Amino acid sequence: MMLERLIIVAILAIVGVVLYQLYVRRQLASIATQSTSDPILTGLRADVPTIVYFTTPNCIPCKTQQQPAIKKVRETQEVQVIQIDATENPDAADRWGVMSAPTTFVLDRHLQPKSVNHGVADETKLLKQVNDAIQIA
Amino acid sequence: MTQVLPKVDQNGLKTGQALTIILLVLAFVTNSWLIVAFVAIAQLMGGLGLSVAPYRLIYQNIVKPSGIVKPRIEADNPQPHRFAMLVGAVFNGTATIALLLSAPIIGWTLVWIVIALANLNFWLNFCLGCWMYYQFNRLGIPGFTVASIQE
Repeated sequence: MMLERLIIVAILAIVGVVLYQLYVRRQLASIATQSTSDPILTGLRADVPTIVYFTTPNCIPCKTQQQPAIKKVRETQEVQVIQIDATENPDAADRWGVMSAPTTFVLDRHLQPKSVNHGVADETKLLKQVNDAIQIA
Repeated sequence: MTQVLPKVDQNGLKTGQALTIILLVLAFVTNSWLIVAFVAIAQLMGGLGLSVAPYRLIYQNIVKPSGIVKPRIEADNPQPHRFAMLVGAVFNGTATIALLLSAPIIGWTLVWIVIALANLNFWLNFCLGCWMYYQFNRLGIPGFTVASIQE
């Protein structure tokens, strides 16, 4: 009985992780098809990576954790940041498949999404993703 | 005059979420309604802001002194988090009753909903109970008096 339940827990955990990875891949692939023509990315420089940061007015971690982390990344690395209020711009949130805040995307110099973070991404993680995006581009 | 923002130890909340996940998975594996009942009581006491709430005691007396987790105190409203804990307590309390009344499918389904939501909060920082609280505040429902912290 206990072994069966352990197996159920293990299966649920594995299924959860696999589904999340598939969801991330699909989300990035979907954005990649339309990111170069997306209205929120117009007028950006083509020589630096971009962080697209979705927030909402009620998102406390956005204010206390995500914004300070992005600020630190900007102090360390040249990067452009697009901040979108998902409640004011629900169409953009739909196009980018954003379901919770904060959500951050790291785009390379060709505006191709390379990473997505659902939830708070700390400075170290964001900086690594930005550096990876620079190397790819 | 500068407004003094309320503060919340975010790692205290994370500890509570981690304990909820671990204990409820353990409850499922061992088929123990007692552990579900304990989590329900712990969440109820935490939701009521009691100083003797089990999660608070574990965090203050075991987790923090051990150095595994350091306090991360940030501007935040404690009320939505307490409300979220009360929602969890209702789910786990109902689950306990269902398990005692030999309705395991209902009971474990409720438990797994709490596990899923606690994971969402732990890994992605999405607190459904907090979101509900702020929506109720915006709708002007009595008792939900605290609005979101503004930039």
